[in-house]
Amino acid sequence: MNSLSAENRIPEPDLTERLLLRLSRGELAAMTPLYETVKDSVFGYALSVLKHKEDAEDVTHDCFVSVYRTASTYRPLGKPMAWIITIARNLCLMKIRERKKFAELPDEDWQTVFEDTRRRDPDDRIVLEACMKELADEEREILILHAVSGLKHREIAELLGIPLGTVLSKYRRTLAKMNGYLTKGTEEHE
Amino acid sequence: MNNTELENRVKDAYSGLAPDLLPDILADCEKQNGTVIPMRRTDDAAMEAAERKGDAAKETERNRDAAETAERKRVTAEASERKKSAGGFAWRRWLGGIAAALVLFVGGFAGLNGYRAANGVASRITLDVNPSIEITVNANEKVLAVTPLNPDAEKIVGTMDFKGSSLDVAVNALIGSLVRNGYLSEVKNSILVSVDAKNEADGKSLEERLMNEINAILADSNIEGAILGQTLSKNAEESTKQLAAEQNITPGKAALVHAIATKSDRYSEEELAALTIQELMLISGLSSTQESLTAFDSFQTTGQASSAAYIGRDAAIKAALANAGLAETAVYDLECELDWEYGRMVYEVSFDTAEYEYEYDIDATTGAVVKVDRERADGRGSGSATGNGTTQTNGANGLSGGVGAATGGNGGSASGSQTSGAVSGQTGSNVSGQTDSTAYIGRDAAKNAALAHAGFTASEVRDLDCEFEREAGRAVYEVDFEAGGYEYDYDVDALTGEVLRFGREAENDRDGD
Repeated sequence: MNSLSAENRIPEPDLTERLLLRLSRGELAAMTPLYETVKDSVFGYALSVLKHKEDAEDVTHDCFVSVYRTASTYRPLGKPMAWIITIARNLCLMKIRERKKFAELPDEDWQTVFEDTRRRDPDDRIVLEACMKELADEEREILILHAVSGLKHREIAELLGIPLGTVLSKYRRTLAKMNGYLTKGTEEHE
Repeated sequence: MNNTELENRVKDAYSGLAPDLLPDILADCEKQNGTVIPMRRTDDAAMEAAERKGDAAKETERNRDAAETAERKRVTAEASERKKSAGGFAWRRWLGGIAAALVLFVGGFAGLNGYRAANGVASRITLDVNPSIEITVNANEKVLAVTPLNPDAEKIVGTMDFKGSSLDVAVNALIGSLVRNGYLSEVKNSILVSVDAKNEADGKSLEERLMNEINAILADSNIEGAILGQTLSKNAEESTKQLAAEQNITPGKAALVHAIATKSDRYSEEELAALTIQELMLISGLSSTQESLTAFDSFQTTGQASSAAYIGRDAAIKAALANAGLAETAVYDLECELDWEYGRMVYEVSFDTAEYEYEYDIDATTGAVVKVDRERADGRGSGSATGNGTTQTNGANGLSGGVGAATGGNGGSASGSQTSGAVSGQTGSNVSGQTDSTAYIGRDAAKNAALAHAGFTASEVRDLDCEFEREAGRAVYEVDFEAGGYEYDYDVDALTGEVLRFGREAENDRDGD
């Protein structure tokens, strides 16, 4: 497996925080580097919660606009990603609420994310499917928050309102589940 | 595949999936600075979704948007009449804020009456969560002022300017801001609404209306609110006013604190004044379904204060029993109550065995044992005892918090009597008549099972730890240890000693916090 290349690294908190501070001063120019740095974390999270590509795009869009608008309320305590993801999470909850009002769940179409991206490592598809289909909602949420969005377990516990111990043990078990599924999958393909 | 590799694969799988949304985002951000607030993108998306779903939905959506636009135009027009400079901008930011906080902004909420000047304060409303905000309105329920009463509240009110807007709209925006800033959520769901009105009947109906409204707003954000309402009487006792001034809290909160302190003399008013509304509601049992207490007749409640941020009674009981090395079946008179002590929320867990009476305070957030007390049931004072008994004495003295602190002292003597029952395959049968015996195999046997599976002896590993856990109806011992540069963790069936699950990761892979 490839080691993380520079672009793939989870964003450093310092950089993200500095960008937020620039935004809070009205420097819209900081939005572009912020978007590039953080978009995977936000979109990945929204997709894993909503399982619907367009809804996830909406939430991602609204999240960044909201970040821009409320950047001045961010307190620089070194947890910029947790702050951004909190906004994204609330938007997801609102989106889910909206769906209930329409009394109809959109068909899960998260698989369509693969249609318009460049040639991808087939392993990615297998891993994505494993996450979306094999894990319980909260397990997937915790996994994505940590592995994709880079939140610490403690931040996840606070965000979801569950004890840290629960996050740690669920995370452990989720990795074990994924491991089991991916290993088994490999065997079946051989 | 180790954990880091797996995490990387997950991260790779989710990267680069989003189309380029940046141009639209930048465009919307620019508009925030401009003079016109356009339809927000989610409204566009909602309309398109409605079109795909059919004409009826389309119709509803159009009407709703029209009402929203009309209301927005009317409010903006009123705003620009009154405001000269930066105030105008504040209005637009506020409108953006409402749209962000509410899923569907129904036009009917806002006061549709024309603006009429009436500057006398007819009612004073305070909202307490931990931020405290005061709203004064005139006889037409138009807002005269919104005042943040503490630093957290300043963040909530921000630059929003409500002068002249209707009370409903202001409350909407403030609740939305509380939610957005994380002071209200599914687990932090409690809010106190206090109304002080010139006319007491008006006050009561206002209180009821506000409670219902706030409930509805929170429900829109998927939050089941616990709302406490009260109408402050004109003759609010002097002591309440004094308490409010001394502790720097609102009269509304002071009234609640006073009511709790009067009912139970375990807490001082000073201690209580520092708690959040949610904590106050939880320890006073105000929001439980039990019969209400006379001291609280002046309060109305809807909803239940969430204790979901806490580990829950079951987990607290589990923690206490594990520390004592006892199974639930081996004790009686088991009680568990949420309480406030040592500056934090704790579960008080107490239970008895034939020999001892136990009392534990378990940290409600972390599950750590904060305090433990054990007395001989016959009052003679603790003496030495076999097996777990001896361990417990050591554990109790040296306790510094953390579940399972007592396990280090487990002597070999316990395993003899404990293993005899269970390993032969009995399930669920209790060996009655003995103080500490259970149908479970005991920690030592669990550790041995894990070690044997991993191929180590106890002396070859470090940090050997074993915790009893019950989840989903199954009892397990969780055994952890370090050896050969790896961290091992095992789940061992507490009745049969079977290894249910195990894991191993390289030590330097562990994620710290």
